[in-house]
Amino acid sequence: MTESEAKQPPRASAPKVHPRSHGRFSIVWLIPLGAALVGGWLAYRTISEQGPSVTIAFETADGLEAGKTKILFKGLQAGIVDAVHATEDLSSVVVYATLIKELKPHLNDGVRFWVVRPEISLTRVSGLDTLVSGDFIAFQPGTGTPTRTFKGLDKPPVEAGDAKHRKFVLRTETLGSLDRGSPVLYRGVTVGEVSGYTLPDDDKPLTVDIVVHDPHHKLVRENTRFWNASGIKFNMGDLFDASLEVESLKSLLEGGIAFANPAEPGPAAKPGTAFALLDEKPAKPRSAKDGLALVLKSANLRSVKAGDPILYREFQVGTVVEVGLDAEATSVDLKIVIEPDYAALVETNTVFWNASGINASFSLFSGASIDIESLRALLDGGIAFATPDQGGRAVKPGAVFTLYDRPKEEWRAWAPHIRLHKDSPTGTGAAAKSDSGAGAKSDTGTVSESPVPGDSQATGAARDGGDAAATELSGLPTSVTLPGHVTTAVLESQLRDLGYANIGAIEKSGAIIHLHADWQGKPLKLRIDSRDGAIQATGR
Amino acid sequence: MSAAPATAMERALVACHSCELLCQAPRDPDGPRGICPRCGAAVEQRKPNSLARSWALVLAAYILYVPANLLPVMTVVSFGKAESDTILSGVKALIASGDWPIAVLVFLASITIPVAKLLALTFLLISVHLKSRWDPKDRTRLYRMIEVIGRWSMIDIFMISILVALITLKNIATVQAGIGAICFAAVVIITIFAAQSFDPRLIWDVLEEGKDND
Repeated sequence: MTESEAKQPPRASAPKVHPRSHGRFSIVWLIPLGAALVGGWLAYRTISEQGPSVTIAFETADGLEAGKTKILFKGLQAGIVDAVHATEDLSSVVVYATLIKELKPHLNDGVRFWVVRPEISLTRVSGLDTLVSGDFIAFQPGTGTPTRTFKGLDKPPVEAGDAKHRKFVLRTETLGSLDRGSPVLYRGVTVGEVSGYTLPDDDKPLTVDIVVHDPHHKLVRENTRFWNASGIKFNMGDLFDASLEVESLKSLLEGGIAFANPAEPGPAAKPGTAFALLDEKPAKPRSAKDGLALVLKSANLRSVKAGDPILYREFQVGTVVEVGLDAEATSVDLKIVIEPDYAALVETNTVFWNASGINASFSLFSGASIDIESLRALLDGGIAFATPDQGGRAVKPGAVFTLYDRPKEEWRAWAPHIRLHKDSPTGTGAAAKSDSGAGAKSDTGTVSESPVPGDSQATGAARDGGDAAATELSGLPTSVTLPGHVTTAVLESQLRDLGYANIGAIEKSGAIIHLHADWQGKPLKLRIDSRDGAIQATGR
Repeated sequence: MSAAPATAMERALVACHSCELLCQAPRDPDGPRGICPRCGAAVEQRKPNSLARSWALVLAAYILYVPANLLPVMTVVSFGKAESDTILSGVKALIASGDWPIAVLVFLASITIPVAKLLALTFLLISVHLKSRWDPKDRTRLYRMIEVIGRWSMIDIFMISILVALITLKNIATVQAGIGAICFAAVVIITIFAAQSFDPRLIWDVLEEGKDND
C-alpha cells in the first residue's frame, strides 16, 4: 500500500467545496409518483369512459367485423364490435361489443339489435350508406329487466323507436304477397306498414303485425275493416261487369293492407287490438244511413246472393246485403238496402219477388211461357218489387216482407206516381210521394229548396226515413252534409234528420255555426263547421 | 494483487466529469459537495444517489409503459371514419397490409427495445443491490448497449409527429396523436435518464470491496 501511496500524482487539484443540500427523501422519487398519478388518472379516465360490454347473438356474422363494425343509435355511434365468435355448437354467432357508457342505464331485455345491410327491392332502397361504411348494428332502446346478453334480430323492427306509432294485429289464413314493410293504406294513402308476421305451430290463423304511424292511427277504430290489398283483383263477375282493382302500384308490387271504416266509426282502437284480415275489399259497408234497410223472407234462397240487385222496373234501386237463415231456420232472410233516393218506392203493401233465372211454365192449354226479368237478372239473379197504386204507407226500416218466387201478372201493371228527390243533399230518405202517400205531407218536400225559415214542416215526409235512420245510430253523428247555400231551415232539417231534436237558436260566426240541440235526450252544444259539415258536440 | 493498479477511489482521487481534471475527492461523501476548480462542475466519486434515481425513473417508466401500450398512440380520421391504433394494433395492421419490414422495425423500436431496456436496467439495479459478482464485464457491456439503443425507441414518436404534421387534409384524412404516444415518449425519455443516472462503476465497486476483504 505504501508503494501505491507513493505513486500519488503530484498535481491533484483540491476541489472547492459546496454545501450539500441533504434530505432523507430524494426529490427523484417524485418522478415515479407523478408517473403513477398520470397513469392512475389515465386508467380512471379510460375505465370511466369504457361503456358496458354486451353480447348479442346473431344468426350470421355476415358483414360483421371485429373492431370495425359499429353500433349506431339514430345514426350516432353507440358502440363497436370487439369480437365475433361462433357459438360452441356452431349454430349461430355471438358478437361481443362495447357500447358507450351513456347507454349503460338503457340496457334491458326490451332493447333490440339488428344488422343494417343494404336492401334493394322493387319499391325501396334502404341502407345504401352501408355500402360505403360497411354493415352496422342498429340499436333500439326498450323497456324491461336489465341484461347484458341480447338476441339480435334478422330484420329491423319496423316501429323503430317511435312510441307514438301504434301496433295492431291482423289474423289471416294466408299471407299472400304480404311481407315485412308492405304498406298499410287508407284510401290509397300509406299510413303504416307491416312490421312482421308469425306463423303459429298449429292450424290457427297467421298473425300479421302492423304499425300505423302517428297521426293516422286515430283512423283505426274498433269496427275498422282490414283487407288484403295485394296484387290485382280481376272480377269477371258477369258479362257486363268485369273490373280490375288495384289498390296502388306499390301494393301491387309488394303487397299491402288496406282498411276502411264503416259509416259509423266506433271508438278508436286500442294498441294491439286484433282484427280479421279479409281476403278482399268488403262490399261498401252498408248501414241504415245508406238507405232503407228491409228484410225479405223467402222459403228458399233460389240463387239469390249478397250483392244481387234490387230492381224496380228492371232498374237497380238497391242491393241484397246479406243472406242467411232466420233464427228458427224456418225461412231464408235476405237483408236488403234500398238506395235513399228510391226509398219512397217501397210502401207497406209492396210486393217482392225473385227475379233470378228463368221461369218457364208449360201448360197444355196456354202453351209455354218463358219469363225472364232481364238478361242481367238472368245472369245475376236479383229481386224485383212493385208497389200498388193505392193504399200503401211509408215503411219503417227493418220492415219484413215476403219474397215471392214469381210475380203475379197484375203486379207488373202497377204504376204509382212516386216523386223521387234525387237531388237531395242529405241522402237520407229524401223522397216524398206526391199522389197518395199517407206518410207524405207535402209535395215540395225538398230540403235544399226551402230557404224560408219555419218551412221545416215541408220536410216532414223526408224525415220519415231520416228519423228512423238516426235512431239506429250507435254514436253521435259527427258530420252533416250541407248544400252550398245553407239556410237556417236547411240546417235545422238536416240536424233533425240526423236525430237531433229540440234545436235552439242558430248563431253564425263566420264559417262556424253554434247552436243548442238535444240528442237522444241529452242536451248538447253543437259547433258546426259550415265548410265541411263537421260537428263538434259538447255537453251543455 | 500487485498487478492490479490502485483505483482512483483508493487514492481518494476523482476526475471531473466535465473537464476530466483530476481532483482530490472530498473527504466526507456526505459532507459538502466538491466543485471542480477549473470548470465548476460537481465533482463526485460516484454519481450521487445513482441507485435511488435509477430506481425511481425505472419505476416511473414501468408505470407509464402500461398506458403507452393500452391507449391509442394515433388516430387516423379518413373520410369521417376514425380509427384508433395502439402500438400493437398498428403493428398488426402493418402485418395485415403486408408491410413486413416496417412492422418489424416498429415492433423492435416500440416494443422490444423499451422492454429490453427496462428489463436490463432492472437487472443491473438488482444485481448491484445484491452485490452480485457475476460477470461484471458483460453487465457493463449491457449497460453500454442500453445507453446506445435507448434513443432508437423515439422512432415511433418521430414518425407520429411527422404524420400528424404532414397529414392534415381536413375531411379526407387527418392524423391525431393519441395519449398513448405521450406516455410512450415519456417512457423512452425517462428510460434514457434512468440509464444515464445509473453509474456503471457501481458494478465494479463490489469487486473492489471484495479485494479489500481478501
